[in-house]
Amino acid sequence: MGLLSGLRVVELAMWVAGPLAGRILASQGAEVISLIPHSAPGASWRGISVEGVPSLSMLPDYMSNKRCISLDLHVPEARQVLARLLETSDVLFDNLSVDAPEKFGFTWEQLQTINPRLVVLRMPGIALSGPYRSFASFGVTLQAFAGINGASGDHETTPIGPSAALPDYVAATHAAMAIVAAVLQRNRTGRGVFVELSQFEASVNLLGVPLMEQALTGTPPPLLGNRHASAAPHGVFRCRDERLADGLLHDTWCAVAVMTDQQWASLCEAAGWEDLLRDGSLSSVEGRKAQEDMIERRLSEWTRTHTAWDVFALLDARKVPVSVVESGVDMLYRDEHLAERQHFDRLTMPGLGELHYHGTPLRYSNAPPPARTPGPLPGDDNDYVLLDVLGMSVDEVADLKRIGAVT
Amino acid sequence: MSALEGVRILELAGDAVAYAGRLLCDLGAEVIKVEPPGGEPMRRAGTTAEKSGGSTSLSFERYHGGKRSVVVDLEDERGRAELLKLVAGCDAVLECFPPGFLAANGLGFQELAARRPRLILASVTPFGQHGPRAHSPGTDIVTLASGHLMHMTGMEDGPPQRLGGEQSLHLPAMYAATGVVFALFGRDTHGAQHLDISMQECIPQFTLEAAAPNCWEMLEVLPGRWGRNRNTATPYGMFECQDGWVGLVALTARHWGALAAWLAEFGEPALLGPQFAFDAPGFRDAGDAVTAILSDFFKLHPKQTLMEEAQKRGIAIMSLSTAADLVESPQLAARGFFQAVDHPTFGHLRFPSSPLRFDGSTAAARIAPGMDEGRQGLLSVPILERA
Repeated sequence: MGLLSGLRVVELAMWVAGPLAGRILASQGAEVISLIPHSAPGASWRGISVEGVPSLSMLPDYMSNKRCISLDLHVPEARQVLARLLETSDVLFDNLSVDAPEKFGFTWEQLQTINPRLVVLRMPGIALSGPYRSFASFGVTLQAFAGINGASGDHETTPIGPSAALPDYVAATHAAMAIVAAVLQRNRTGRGVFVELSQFEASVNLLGVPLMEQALTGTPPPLLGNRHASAAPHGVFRCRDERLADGLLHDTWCAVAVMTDQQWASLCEAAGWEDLLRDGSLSSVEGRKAQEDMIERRLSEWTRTHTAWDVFALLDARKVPVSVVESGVDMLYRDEHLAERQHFDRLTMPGLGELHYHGTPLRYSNAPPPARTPGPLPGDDNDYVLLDVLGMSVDEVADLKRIGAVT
Repeated sequence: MSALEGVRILELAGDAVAYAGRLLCDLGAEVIKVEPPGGEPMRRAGTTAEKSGGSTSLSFERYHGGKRSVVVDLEDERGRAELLKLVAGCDAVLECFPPGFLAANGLGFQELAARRPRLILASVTPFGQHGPRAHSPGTDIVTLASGHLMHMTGMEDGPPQRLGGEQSLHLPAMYAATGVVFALFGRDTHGAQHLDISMQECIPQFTLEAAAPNCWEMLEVLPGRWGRNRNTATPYGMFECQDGWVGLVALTARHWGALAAWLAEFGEPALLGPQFAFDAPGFRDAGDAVTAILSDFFKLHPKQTLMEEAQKRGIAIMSLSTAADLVESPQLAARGFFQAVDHPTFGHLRFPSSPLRFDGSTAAARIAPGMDEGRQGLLSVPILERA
C-alpha cells in the first residue's frame, strides 16, 4: 500500500507539467483520476513517432497508476459529472489556461459550494495576476524567460539551456509537494485550500542566489560555464568516440571536478603525469587556476585516448569526482550502479514490447509503491468512475455517451 | 503560509539538504539547521561573505532565511546526546552525510527512530545509500553529468554544458522535500520512514520528454543536444534579436498562421508563401529556410517589443531574461516577488518568494539565523516539546 493511499485526486492536465504532477502522486498510491477527452491536444501519452505515427511510448512517464475518464467539459452534463466526482474527492488540480475555470465551471467559489473540504491547485505558466498573466508560454520559452539560459554556459556558449523543458518538471514536483501539504492543512483545519503555483516563479527560484547578488550589487555572478571559481581542473573532457549499435560514431565525454590537492595528486597518478605531479606550482588550487588552460589541454589529450567509462573507472577508483556525461543509453546499459539499484522500471507496452522507464526517485524503507502499470488511455476507466465511484446506472452512462459528455 | 504548521524539521549540516529545508520552511514548517562546530561552510562561501566577516553570505541567507540554528558536534559524545534530544522533538530529519556516517556515530535510522516514533529520515546523497557508487564523491557538475541533464545541454557539435546556479542543489531537493511531505501524510498508516534520495536518480526526472531510453530501444536513435534552436519548420527554441534573445514555440497550425501573419504585418511577408503553408507538402523539411527568415526578422527588433507584440497576437514568444531583467521585471514587481528585508550586514536584501500561494498568501521572507542562535530555546529546556 502506497503512502498516499486513500487520497483521491482529480486531474485536468495537458502537456507535461500537470500530468507529471499527477504521476508523482500516483507513484505513491494516490488515486489520480485524469479527465481527458479523446479530442484533447497536448496529451502526454503521445510518444515517439515511429514512421510518422506517434506511439504510446511515453505513456508510463506521465500516466502510470492513474485512472482516466474521457469526460468532455465542453458539454454541460460533463460538468455535472465533474461536480459529483469532486464531492467525493480530496483534490482538484489543473494546468489548463488561466480562464479555464470560468469556462468550465470550476472557479474557487463554485468549488467551495460543491465541496468545502476540497484542495484546489492551479499551475498557471506565468501567474494568476500581473501584467503578463495571460502570456502564452511553453517550457522552452519559460526556461529562457526565467533566466536559466542566460545564466548558463560561459562567455562563448551562453545562452544555453537543456534540450528539454526544465520548467515543466520543476513545476510538476512543486505541485505534487504543495498538493499533499495543502491536504495536511485541510486535515488540520477542516477547510479546503486554494493553492496557486506560478510555473515561472518556480523556475526563477532556481537562480535565487544570482538574483540576490544582482539586486544587492548591480551585477550578476560571473558566467563560469563548466569551470569553477575555486577548483581546477573542473569541466567536461572529450573521451574516445564510440561506435554504438546504430553503427554511428558518437562523441563521449567525462565530467571531472578536482576539488582538493589530494584529488589533484590522484588525477596525476591516474593519468601518469609525473611531471605535473612534481611541479610544486600546481599543488595548490591557486597555482592550478593560473595554469588551467594547460591542465585542461593535458587532461583532454589523456581522456581522448580512453573510452569515457574507462576514464570513469580510473578516476572513480582513486576517489576523484568524476562521471561519464551519461546519455540515456549509458544510464540504461552501461551504468552498473543504476543497474544494481534497479533504477529502471521494465514495462510491457501494448504493441511496443518491453520498454524501460526511469523509476521513482522516492525510495522509502517502509512504503513499497504500487506495482507500476503502463497507464490508461482516455476512457479506460469510464466504467470504474461512473459506475463504481459515482454509482450511476448503465442507462445514465449510455446517455452521457450519447450526448458526447463522455467521448 | 501554514500548511506545515506544527511540523518541526531538523536539517543536519551540508548544502545538499539546504533547498529541501528552504521548501519545507516556506510551507510553514519550523526548520532547525544543525551546524557543525565553526558553522556551516556556506556562511563563508562567495565574495559577499567577506562583508560579514564570514558569519553569513548571500547563499546562506538564501537557503537558511527563516530557519533556526544550533551548533552540534556529531562526532562528540555530548553533541550526540544533544542531537538525540533534538530528534525526540522533531518530525523529520534531513541529512546529506556520506552513507554510513550517521550510523557509525551511533545516529543511524534505527537509533533516531527509537527516540522518535514515526520519524522520517530523508538522506540526500549523490548516488544514494547503496550500490557500487554509493561512496563516490559527487559535485554539482558530476551529479548533473551522471543524470542525463548535461548530455541534453549544449551545442549540437560542442561540449555538454552544466547549467548555471548550482542546480544539483535544487532539483533533487525538490524530490526530497516532496518525499518528506508524502511521508508526513502517510505516517499514521506507515510509520517511520528512511527515504533514500539519490541525486543521480532525481536528475533524469527533469528531462523526461527527451525520452532517451525509449528512443534507443524502439528506433536505435540517441537523442542529444540541439543547441539553442531545434531548427525545425515549426519553430522551437531561441533566436537572436536586436538586443538579446527570444524564445519561440509555434507547433500548431494556429500558432504558425498567427506568426506568419504577424511577420507580414511588420513587413516580412515571406512566410505567407505557399511552400510555408502548414499542410504544404515539404513544409516539414523547410527548417533551414524558416529559421533564416525568422532570424533576419528578429534581429531588427528588441526582445521586449517582440514579446509584447507577439503575445498580443497569441504567439508564444518570451524574451530571454538576464538577471537584471528579472530583478526589474514588471511581472515580478506586480507580484511582489522580491521581498525587501533589512539586514544588519547587507543593508537591504531582496529575497525571492516561494512560487506557492496558499489562499493568496506566500511565505514572508526572513533573514538567516546567527550561528547557534537557537541553542538557548532548543536545548536548555528539559524536554523539547513535540510539535
